[in-house]
Amino acid sequence: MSATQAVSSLVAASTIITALAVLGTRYFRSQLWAYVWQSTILAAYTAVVAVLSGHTDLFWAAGVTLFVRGFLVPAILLRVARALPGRREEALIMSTASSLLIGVILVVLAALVVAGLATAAEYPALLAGLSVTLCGLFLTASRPEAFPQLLGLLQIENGLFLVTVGLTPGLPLINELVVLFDLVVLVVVIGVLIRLMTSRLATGNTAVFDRLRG
Amino acid sequence: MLTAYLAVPLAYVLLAWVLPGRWLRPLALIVGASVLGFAVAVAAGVLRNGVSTGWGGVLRVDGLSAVVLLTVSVVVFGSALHALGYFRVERLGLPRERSYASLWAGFSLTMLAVPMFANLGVVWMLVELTTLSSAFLVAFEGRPEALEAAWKYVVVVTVGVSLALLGTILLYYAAVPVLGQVFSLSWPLLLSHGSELSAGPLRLAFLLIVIGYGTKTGLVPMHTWLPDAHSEAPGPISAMLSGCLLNTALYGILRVVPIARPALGRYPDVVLVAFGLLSLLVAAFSLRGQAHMKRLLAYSSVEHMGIVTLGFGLGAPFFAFLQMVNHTVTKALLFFAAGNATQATGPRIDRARGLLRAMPLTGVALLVGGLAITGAPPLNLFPSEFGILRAAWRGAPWVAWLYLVLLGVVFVAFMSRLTALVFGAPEGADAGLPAPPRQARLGVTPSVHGGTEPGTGAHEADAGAVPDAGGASPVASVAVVLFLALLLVLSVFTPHALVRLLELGSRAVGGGG
Repeated sequence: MSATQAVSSLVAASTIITALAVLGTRYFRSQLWAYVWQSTILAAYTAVVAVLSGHTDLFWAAGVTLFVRGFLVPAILLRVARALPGRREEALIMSTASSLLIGVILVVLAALVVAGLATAAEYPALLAGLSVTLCGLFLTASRPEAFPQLLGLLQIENGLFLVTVGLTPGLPLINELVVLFDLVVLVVVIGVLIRLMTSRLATGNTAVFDRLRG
Repeated sequence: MLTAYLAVPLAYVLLAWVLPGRWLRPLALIVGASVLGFAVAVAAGVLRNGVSTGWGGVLRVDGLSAVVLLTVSVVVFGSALHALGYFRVERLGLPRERSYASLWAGFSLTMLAVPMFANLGVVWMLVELTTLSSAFLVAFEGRPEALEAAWKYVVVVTVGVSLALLGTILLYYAAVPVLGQVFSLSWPLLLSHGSELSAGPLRLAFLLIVIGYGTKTGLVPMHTWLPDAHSEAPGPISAMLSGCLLNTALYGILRVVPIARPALGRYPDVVLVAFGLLSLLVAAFSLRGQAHMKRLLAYSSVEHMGIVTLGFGLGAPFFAFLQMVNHTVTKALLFFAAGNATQATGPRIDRARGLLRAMPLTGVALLVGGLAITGAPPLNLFPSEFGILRAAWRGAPWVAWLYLVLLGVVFVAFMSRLTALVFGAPEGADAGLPAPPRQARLGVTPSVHGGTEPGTGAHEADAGAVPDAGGASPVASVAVVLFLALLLVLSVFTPHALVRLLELGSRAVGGGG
């Protein structure tokens, strides 16, 4: 096993663990920290790929990723979480244990899909990217509260970034930058929407949204 | 030219916060008119030179882009006009009108930018920004339903559009064997190497892009956000969502179709036909039993995006474009008229009757627009729907049969609702209740309607007034008259320049003959 593969396997394992960790907890603070760790690992991985592949653009991508995904976005999220009324844990429709189990099933599913697609060198990053994306998708779909839904969207973006770095390290920096810009706007807009919800409806729980049907 | 095109709405985004309040509406009109002017000028430039570029190739407008720009700009202008009437009735106060004006311009700006940029990564970002800039406009009226609609809109569309990002990355990956590790993700470059892209990743990329941007286009089964957002938004914004946002999202798909075709053969067309037919099918049956006027129109948009997608998949790009343009004009008209009607009656169709007598102009506009949108001859959507039918007949007769049956279902479902609203006997007048004149003439029984619908208070204040032609204020009818005229003109003839532009667009998308 080459050094590249060792690093990417390690990264794949640890990002998948952070994605599962978010599914396995109902505390906003713990979810946020898991996201910060995930983003930091992504940035570190990007820097390593920059060294190994020689695409210097990726150094910039690593730095900006660390700043935006690891610091700026979590800082905004922290403000949003503080504004939520009263509680620090979320209401659930499915127990954390069951969602964790489904998360594991999704990772296995991702492994099966990727096995048919990727070469050995691309395998770990693609597997981790797809797993994180699917776990984020599941988080968004399965949680009734607004905050974890937002975190799910952010994890989807993290997963896609991992796929980008692993699959197309040569992708020009501009594309990473536009995605990050978009991410910041997304967090701000959803943050304001959550504020509106908590002030108008006195809850951050989207389960009250059941009026529009058919 | 393209720079100025974008600079005008951008300037208004900022100016809306600092201008004196009374300049806000006139300037919005000027912005709308100049956007429309730029669209015509850019289209003329594209007709002359085939392509129009800016910023050293960063901006690139061809026939496809020009058609989309034109549809966006027409509705941006119309929404500026219609907003005059909307604010005359709603009386929301200056701070909220400022935020509306700024968001409106921002939304227009992002929609105009989408078809201009050559880099597909930037196009992706701009499509996502159209969602984020319109989220607060959907939630603008502040009701819990509006917040619900905005939340669903942002979450569902963001998830969908991130799949398009994955598709875009895979598109890049498919080109790596040809173009090397580092190249620009611009569509002219990818287009020139279309036949050399590796088919495996490209197949997945195309599917993800169709699902991703298709979420925003309102293709079934990713359309769930659409009826909510389109019905809860204020009237002028509903028209923009249905009339042009869907087109800019579809643009994201159409850009990739000619890139994918050389390597994949019929595969992209099969995907488009499948999504188009499914959308038409589900929308046709969802139209039945929609009591809410704007939800009815929203499902009709799902139906029409299905028809347009079907048209492109069947290799009839000219008729698909013709359908797109005419749908834009007709749907904007319908949303403007429906906005005026619901501001007077409350949003539920099943309670309002006899609109034609109470609000003749709005009634006529809804009736003509309704006939046009269901494809009745000799109105403007008939030729394109017929053209797509002929293409289906040549390709696969079973598709043609299904298409024809579904159009029939749509016609019955849509018109049965609309005729009840426009012609139905006003119940209130028969009952002889001592209701305010306008409400009685509209047939809204006060005991059912009174106080339950938001915005009623504003109307009761001037309920003694004789209802004028366009609803609440004559200003509100200007946009309706203008779009009604445009619809009728397009029914009689399609201007030669527009035909040539649509042909240019068709050549850019390709397919068929």
